[in-house]
Parts: sequence; structure tokens; C-alpha cells
Amino acid sequence: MIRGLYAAYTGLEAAWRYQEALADNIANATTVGFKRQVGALASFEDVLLAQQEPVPAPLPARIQQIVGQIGTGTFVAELTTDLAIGPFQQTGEELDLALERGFFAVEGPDGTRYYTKAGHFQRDGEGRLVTPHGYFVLGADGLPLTLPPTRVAVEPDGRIVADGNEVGRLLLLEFPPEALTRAGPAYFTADGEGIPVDSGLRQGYLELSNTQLTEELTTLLAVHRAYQANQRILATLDTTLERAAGELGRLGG
Amino acid sequence: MTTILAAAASGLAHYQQVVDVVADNVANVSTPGFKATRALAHGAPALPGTPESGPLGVRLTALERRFAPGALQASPFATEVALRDDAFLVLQAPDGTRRYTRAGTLRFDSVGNLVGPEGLLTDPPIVVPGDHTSPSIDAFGRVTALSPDGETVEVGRLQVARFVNPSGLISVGGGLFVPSENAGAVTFGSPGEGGFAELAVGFLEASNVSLADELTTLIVAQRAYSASAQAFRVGDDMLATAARLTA
Repeated sequence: MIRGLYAAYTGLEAAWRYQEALADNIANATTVGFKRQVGALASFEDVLLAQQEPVPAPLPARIQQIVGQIGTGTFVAELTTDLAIGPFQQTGEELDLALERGFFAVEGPDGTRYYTKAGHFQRDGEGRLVTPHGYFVLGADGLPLTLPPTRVAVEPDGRIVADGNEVGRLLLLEFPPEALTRAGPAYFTADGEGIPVDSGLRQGYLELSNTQLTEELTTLLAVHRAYQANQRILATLDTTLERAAGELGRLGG
Repeated sequence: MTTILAAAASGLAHYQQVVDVVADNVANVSTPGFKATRALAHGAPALPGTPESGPLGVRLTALERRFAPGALQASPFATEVALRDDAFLVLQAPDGTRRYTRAGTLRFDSVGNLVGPEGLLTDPPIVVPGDHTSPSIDAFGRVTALSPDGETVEVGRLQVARFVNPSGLISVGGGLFVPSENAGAVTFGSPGEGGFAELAVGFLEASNVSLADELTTLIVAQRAYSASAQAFRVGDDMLATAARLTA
């Protein structure tokens, strides 16, 4: 019965994690380059199997260990990022870039390199190409790109052309999905160097969020009920334990 | 434990801001020289070394003015001008600092000063002497007037300016802008020279707001706001459930 308590607890905890991801998906329904997280439903065997593997990023270790042993059955075992392409919005802006394949490479202030689909860029005061956070967008040489003050054309292969001359080239890389680690709503870090890709870049477009609002809301309600159900189980087990402790051991009438 | 609420609340705050921006754009659909703003949501990259998948929710609403040109429309005033390129007219505030504008609603005031939006003087100031008549502006920004003896004399020339990054300009109302650090270097010049286009005299640049775009944005923002509110309610209910776990 004590084990049952833990099963209910892990159910509550997993539901909470799932709702966090769903609320994040919904809040980011229009965020540029956002990739939603989806819960993978796992049967009992799958959960046991998953337990042999290293613990994936978002879930603390104890959930998987315990879920695997108790088998809360068909509940969310892990969250994965859905890398499906989001809808393209035509904006006509010079530095709105959308990729059909691959990722842009950007560099944070501490030198960390991130990969993103969020091609919403601008010039900073010195003409460098930056994200709205001020992260540098990298060129094919791995260094921050600097643009001329005149309007530039960005070709589908990432070449940047101003007045007929090539003035730079975007670093556009593709990775196998398992090499990418989620590092924020639209950002990834990667193991390995990646492979250059013919990205089918489109200038004047933005890739928006791939959130499926109807699906997120439906799942939100379903997981809410699952959370309540786990709470009922916990309450019932608590009552049973109370009986066991309070009544079973009592002597006489 | 309040993570669901925080994520949902960030969505509510963002979509509220989108609606505010749409309202401002729509209100200025017929303001000459007006530039629409767009509000784009961004997430923040996770800091390196943190095991979590990154901060939840919308972390940054990037407000960005779109300097795409508006259509030219004929003006009944021969002193009004439209810029045909990405430059700005240069005006000066009463304190002597510069203001930049796309709104070429220029007029001569009662004492012959050429003034722009909000009654600001041009920079440099252009004054038509009291005994001169029929002031006019040509495509090169030259302001001329007829002297008492019937000769056409040039009394001044409009100055235009261009920025490396116009998105770095800050709106101070009335269609006027001041540069921030992000605007980068400014180049001054005269219309029709040194890479600046000639002016369209007797025309005004219409607002670049597209009603269809704005209304689409509004509908999406309303739906996403409702969805975020729903996520907030559910998160709240789950907290309440957690507070009475064994009841």
C-alpha cells in the first residue's frame, strides 16, 4: 500500500511536468521558431525498458525509477521535442529568414553556440547580424556576420549579397535529431559539428511556432483529469492506511 | 510548484501586449508617415549547464517598428513631401536636439518658418524673409521664394538622414523618432545627392499599416490569450488539488 502511495505520487509529479510543457506550448503559440514538447505515452513494458536507458533531460531520475517499478501504466514517460516545421509567415522584412531544413548558428555572450530556427534577426549599432537577445548570428567561417548598411539579399543557400557582391554566408547546419538537446523554447545545443545543408532559405518569411493549439488544450484537460484521478487514489490509499493503522490493531470492541 | 501558472501568465502578458500594439497600429491606419509596430514572442536560450530544458513561457516580446515604405498619396498642400527611400527628415526640438521623421507634413508658419510635425523647426532652420512671397519646395529639398523684386531666391535646403539600423530608433510620439545606441551611425545629406533619393513634392507617405494583417494578428492573439487563460485556470485548479491531496 505504501508502494501505491508512491505510484500515485509519481503520477501527480509526471502530470505536473506534462502540464508545465503544455502551458509552455500554449504560451508560445506564436513564438518565432518555437518547437513544442510532446509527452510520449508509454505502456508498462516501455517504462521498464526506458529505465535501462540513461535518464533523459527534463525528468528527474526518481520518476523513471519508480514509474518503472510500479507501473502506473499508460502515462507520460518522457517529454520529447517535436521538431516538425512550423508555419511560415510572410513579412517582407529584409532580415526575417526562414529555413526549410537545418538550423541557424548563433553565439551567446559567453561563447556558447546555439542552434535555432528562429530567423528573426536585426542589425546592431555596428552592423552585426544579431538575434533580439543580442546573440551574434554566425557566418560560414564560424565568426559573427557583419552586414553592410545597404539592403541585402539572402539567397536560398545562405549567401548574403549586397549590390551584386557576396558579402558573407550564413552558417546553416543540419543535425540528426538525437544530437540535439533542447536549450530553451527555440534553441538547441548539439553534440558534434553538424553537416552543411541546402536549407532552402526564404528571405522575408518567419517560421512560427509549431504548437497545435487544439491538441494542446485537449491534452491539457485530459492530463488535468489524470492529475485529479491520482489525487483520488492517494486520498483512498490514505483512508485505507488510516483504517489499517487505527482500526485493525485495536483490541476488543 | 507555480511553474504552470508562470508559463501561462507569460502567455497572457505577451498576448495582451500584442493586442495593445494592434490597437495602436489600427488607430494610426491613416496617419501620414506612420510605421506599424509588430510584437514578436521569443523564448530565452537556457543557460549552459542547467539540466532543465530551459525557461518556460514567453521570455521576451520584441517590439519592432517596421520601416517598410507606405504608399504615396497626393496631398493638397504643395509644401508636403514624401521620402522615396529609407531616409528621414531632420527636425529640431525646442531644446536643440534632433528629431527624425518620415511624415513630410511641412508647412510655413505665420512668421515664415518651415515647420514639420508637432510644429518643430527643420534642422537647419529654414525661414522665408517677411518680404518674400510664394515659398515652394522642389524635389531636391531646396526651398525657394520670390523676392520683392520678382527674383526666385533659395532660402534653405532640407536635410535628410539615414541610419544603419532604423529599428534602433525610439518613437517619441507624433511620428518623431530619436536614435538609440542600436540605431548605429547616421549619415546626413541632401535629397537627390549622395545616395539619397529625390523627394516627391505634393505627396505624403501613407501609413504602412495593413488592416488585414492587423486583424489576423488580433484574432490569433485573442485565441492564444484564451488558451493561456485556460492553462492558467487548470494550473490553479491543480494547485488547489495539491493543497488537499488526501481529502
